[in-house]
Amino acid sequence: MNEPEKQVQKLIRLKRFEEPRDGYFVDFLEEFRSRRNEGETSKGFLNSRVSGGVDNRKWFIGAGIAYAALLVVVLMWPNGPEAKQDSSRQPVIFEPKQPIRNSLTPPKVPISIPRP
Amino acid sequence: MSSESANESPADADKVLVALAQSGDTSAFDQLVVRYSPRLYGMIYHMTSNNEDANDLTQDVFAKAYRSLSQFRGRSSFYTWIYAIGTNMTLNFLKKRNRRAAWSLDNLDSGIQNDEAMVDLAHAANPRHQSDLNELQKKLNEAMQSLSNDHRAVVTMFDIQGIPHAEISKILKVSEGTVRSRLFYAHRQLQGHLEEFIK
Repeated sequence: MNEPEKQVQKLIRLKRFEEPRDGYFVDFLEEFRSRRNEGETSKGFLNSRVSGGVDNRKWFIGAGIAYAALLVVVLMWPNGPEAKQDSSRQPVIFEPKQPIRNSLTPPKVPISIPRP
Repeated sequence: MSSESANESPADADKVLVALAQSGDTSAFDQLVVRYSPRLYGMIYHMTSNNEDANDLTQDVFAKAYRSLSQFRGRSSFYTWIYAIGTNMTLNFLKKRNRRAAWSLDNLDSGIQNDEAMVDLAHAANPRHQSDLNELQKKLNEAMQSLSNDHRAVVTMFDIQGIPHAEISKILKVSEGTVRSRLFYAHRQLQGHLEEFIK
């Protein structure tokens, strides 16, 4: 290790003296205990504080998209909601222009059935 | 309960406390909190440079450790395990924070300028530049914040907290070579930022 690097290390080590106030860790333990007693250890302090705004925005965007999608579905629905209520309509009767081929007509090619 | 007898190593004492905590003894876990909160808080504080964030994040680390204690199998020491949780959570937090109000120098220990050890060390480290300690502290924080999160993590653990390379490699789950290389580049970068103090 060269001399400038050693000096950098000495300077950075000074940060060891940045410590919280006296009694801080006693309060810290009390805070932890009360959170545990209230069953709040499952919640994160930071996640709610740091990403709270981002999460809310996500919820709003998601709700907006869901509402828009629902609106599109309602508008695009065939004949709209009144389709079921219109009792004046007659049922559609299918009348084929050509006679339907009888599906029971035997095929032209004889089928050989193997005998046991 | 006596947590540590005269012959018992800290790691052995941890094993006993962990076993008791796993069986539901909350006071045993409290003793682990007492034992490790100063070091964990220090690591997180030096990574975030913010007291409020460090407090909340350290609380969250212990909460997570408490919830996950049943999964701790003792393959590593409790110290390595909780440090790994702390480092991962801090790195994730820093990604999210995205340079939000990066560092707060106003809420650092106000008595630091009157700390004799600090004054002596500052003098010893830099006899020619006995400049204002506030200025030095500000520069140190700026220099630390200029590092990438990964580089700041190794500088915090090695230079400030005195954790050996091998232990850091276990905590960060990288090779010792990677730890050394990160330290080398971090020191070079810090040198540039602290040039005026090391001439």
